[in-house]
Amino acid sequence: MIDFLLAQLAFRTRAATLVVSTTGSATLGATAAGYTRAAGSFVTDGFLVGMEVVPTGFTQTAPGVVSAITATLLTIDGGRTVQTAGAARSLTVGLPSLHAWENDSPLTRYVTRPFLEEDFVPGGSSNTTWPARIGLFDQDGLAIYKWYGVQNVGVDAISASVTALMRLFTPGTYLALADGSSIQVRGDVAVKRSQIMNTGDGWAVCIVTIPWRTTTRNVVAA
Amino acid sequence: MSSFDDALNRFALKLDARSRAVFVGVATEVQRSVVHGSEVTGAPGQPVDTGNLRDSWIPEFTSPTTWQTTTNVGYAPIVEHNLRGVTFRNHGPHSVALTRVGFPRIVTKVTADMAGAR
Repeated sequence: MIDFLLAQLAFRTRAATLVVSTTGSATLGATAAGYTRAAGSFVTDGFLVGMEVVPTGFTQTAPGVVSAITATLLTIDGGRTVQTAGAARSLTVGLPSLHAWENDSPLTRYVTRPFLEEDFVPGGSSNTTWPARIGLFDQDGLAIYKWYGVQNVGVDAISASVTALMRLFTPGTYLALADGSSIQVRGDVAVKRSQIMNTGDGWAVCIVTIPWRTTTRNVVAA
Repeated sequence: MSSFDDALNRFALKLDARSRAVFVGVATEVQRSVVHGSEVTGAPGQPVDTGNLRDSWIPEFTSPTTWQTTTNVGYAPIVEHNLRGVTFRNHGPHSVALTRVGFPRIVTKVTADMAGAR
């Protein structure tokens, strides 16, 4: 029987590696409007309106939400602190910095920022071989991530983000648990996403559902 | 030769009857899982306040080989996906999703029950 806490943490750890789009290490500057670059393209790098970018190498490291894009200017809602161009900086879109893991204290949400909620849902279980004492014990369930994006900016940002998340959990993906056991993303019923639904209170949500399964040796307590 | 044909025909009829029984049994078990919850799939079933959502799931055989269950309750997706931090006093969310991923277990259970294995 797996340790459900370790399983849940393994999913979180993998989800946290998400990179939807990034400049990589580049020479970037900041203006009152947003971020600038002289070489390369924010468009080609995959940034989209409504995405939350996390800056590194800048004085201001708070995440910002993209409100407009050209190849050389990434306009950020609320603007940025001005900083001349410098090398070895980056802008990256990953898992929303606002996220609520199960049973965390309530999240303070802002209608201008994406956020993420998690459901980890144990499913069915059964002993599949005989005798029970050393039988194979199957367990399955769902890891669910609800991606709330900025409302009324189209589907591009949310769709690109959840697609990148789904690619982390393709069928057959093994997640190693801290105790040496593992779980596998299922292929018979595989990772799927929902329609993008307007919540009516400032966000549009898309739900990624990841079915998982594990088989362990059954141990009967003495 | 004709007795062999007769035997084959009897087998075909028996097979057809068994297939129909499995189909009906699986549909019944899916409906139970979605609406009331199931130890087979782990689905918690529809939460009940007034009973409006629970009672709204309508099962229907749409052809000899297809079956569906549907609801027309507008807030059903909110409950299913556990949106907006819904509080559940009984049962819970994700019953449709858990039934979907637990479908192989349902088929295994129904066929095993029919075979008298359990």
